[in-house]
Amino acid sequence: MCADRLDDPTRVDEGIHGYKVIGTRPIRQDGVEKVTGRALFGADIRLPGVLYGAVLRSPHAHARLLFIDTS
Amino acid sequence: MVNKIIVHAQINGEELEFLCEPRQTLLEVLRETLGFTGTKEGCSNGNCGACSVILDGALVNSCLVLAAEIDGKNLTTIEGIAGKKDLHPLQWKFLEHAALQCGYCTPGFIVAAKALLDRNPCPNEAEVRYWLSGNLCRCTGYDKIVRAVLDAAQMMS
Amino acid sequence: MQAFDYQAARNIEEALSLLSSGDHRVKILAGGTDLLVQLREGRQRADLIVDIKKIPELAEIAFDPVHGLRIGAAACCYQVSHHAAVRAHYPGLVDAVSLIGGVQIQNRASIGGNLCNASPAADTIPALIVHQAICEIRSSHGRRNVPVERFCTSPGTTVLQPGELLVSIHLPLPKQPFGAYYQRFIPRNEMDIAIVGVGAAVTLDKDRSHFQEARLALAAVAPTPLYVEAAGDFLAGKEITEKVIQEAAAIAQEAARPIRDLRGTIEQRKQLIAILARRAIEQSIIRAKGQG
Repeated sequence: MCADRLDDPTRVDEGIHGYKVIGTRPIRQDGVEKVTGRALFGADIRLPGVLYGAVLRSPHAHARLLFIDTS
Repeated sequence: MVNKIIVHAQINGEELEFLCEPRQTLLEVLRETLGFTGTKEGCSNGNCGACSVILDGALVNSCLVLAAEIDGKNLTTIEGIAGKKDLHPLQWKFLEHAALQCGYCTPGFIVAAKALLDRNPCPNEAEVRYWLSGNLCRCTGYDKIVRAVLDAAQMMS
Repeated sequence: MQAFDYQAARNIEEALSLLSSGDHRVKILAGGTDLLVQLREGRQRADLIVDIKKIPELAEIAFDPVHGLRIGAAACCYQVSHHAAVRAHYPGLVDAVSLIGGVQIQNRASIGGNLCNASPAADTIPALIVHQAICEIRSSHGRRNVPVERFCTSPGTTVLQPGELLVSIHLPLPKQPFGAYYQRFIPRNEMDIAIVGVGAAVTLDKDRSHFQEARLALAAVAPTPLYVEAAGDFLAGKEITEKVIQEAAAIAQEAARPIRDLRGTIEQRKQLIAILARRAIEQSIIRAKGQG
C-alpha cells in the first residue's frame, strides 16, 4: 500500500468543478524529503572554503563608533 | 593536546567506525562527520527535541550526548526510520495529516513518535502529548502531529 | 564547545583516581543534561570529563526490605520512576523524578546529577528530603554520609570536597502507614523549571486519625532546597484536621525565603507555597490511608 503511494507523492483525488488540484488533499511537494530527513536546510549544506560570520555587538549602548581594530 | 577517540557503533543497522574529539557531541558528529544531516540542531540545550535520536532503545537528545559515549551502542536516527522501499507508517501519516510545514522539527518528532510506539503500541491522546512534550514545533500547533501519531498507531496495530 | 579529555571509569577507584589526578579541572559526567549545557555556555570549565555511567554501583538501583533503597548516583530518571520498589514504597520520589524535562531528558538525567548541580529549584531534592534520604560520598580517604537536606550549600555548590564523588543515595524503608507526594507549579504542562515545588511525607498512627511523623520540603524558594523541620514537628502527634494542615502550610510559608526572578514574584511564590503545601500534605495522607 505504501509503495504505490510513494510513486505518486502528489496523489490527487477528485477535483471539484473540473479543477485538478483545488478541492483535493495533495501531499505537499517536499513532504517525502522532509519526513525522511533528506531535505536539505541551510545548515545542512557544507561547501568548500565557506566563511562564517558572527555579529560583534557593542558593549556600550548609544556609544559612537570611533574605530574598529581588525588586527 | 587532546587525542581523538575511535568509536564503534551500530547506526541505523550498519556497523560504523568514526574518529571524534572528546568535546564533540553526538549531534555534531552525526551531522558533520557522518553526513547524517536529518537530525537537526535547534537549541543545543535539551529543550526542543529537534536532535532526538534513539540510543540503545531510549529516546535522547543527541546534543546532550558526547559522541564518545556511543561506543558499542546501537543508534537509530531519522535516516533509519523508513524501510528499504517504503515509508514508515508514521512518515506516511505525517504526510497524510499535513503534520509538517517547514519540516525542521519533523525528524525529531518522527523519531520521538517511533520511540513511543516501540514502547507503547496503543497510546491514548494524553500519552502521545506527554511523550512528545520534549519536542517543539512552531508551525503546526501540534494538533495534526498528535492525530498523525494516533493514526499511525492504529494503522500499525 | 571547549576542548576537554574524556575517560569512562570502569569502577569507583578509577573514578576517584581520575578525580584527584593533577591540578586540572575534572568534571563528573552522568546524564550530561546540566553539565554539557553549562560547558557549552562557558558557565563551567573542564579539562577532563569522567563518565561514571559504566560503574555498576553508580548505574544500578537496589532494594531490600531491611536496608531500603539504594539509588546509584548515575541511574537515570526513567530507571528510578519505573523501578518496582520505588513505585511501591517511595511515591513522592516517583512524582518528582517523573516531572523532570521530557522523555529525552528522563532517559539521561540522574538524581546524583540533580543533587550535584544544586539548583534551588531541583525537583528531586525536596522529595528525597521527605523520604529521609542519605547521600553516600566516597573519596580516596574512605566514605561519609550526609543527610540530603544538608547536601546543597548554596546555588550550584554542595558539600563535596575536591576528590570526593557522590556514589549513591540511600532511602530507608518508610514506617507504615506512609504516604508521600511532590507537586510543583510551572507555566506550561511539562519541561519547565519549578516556580515553587513542595514535597511532603507522613506516617500516620494505626487508626489513621493522627500524624505520627511528617516531613515537608520546598523547592525554588530559598538558596537551596529547603527542609522545613518545624512543619513536620508541628504535625507530629496532631489529629488530622483541615485547620492543622493549614497551619503546617503556614509554617512552611513563613520559613521560605523566595526571591523575585524571571519565573515569579515573591508574592506569587508565597501564595503558591501555602496552596501546594496543603495539597502535598493532603495527598500524602490519602496515600497513607491506602486510598491513593
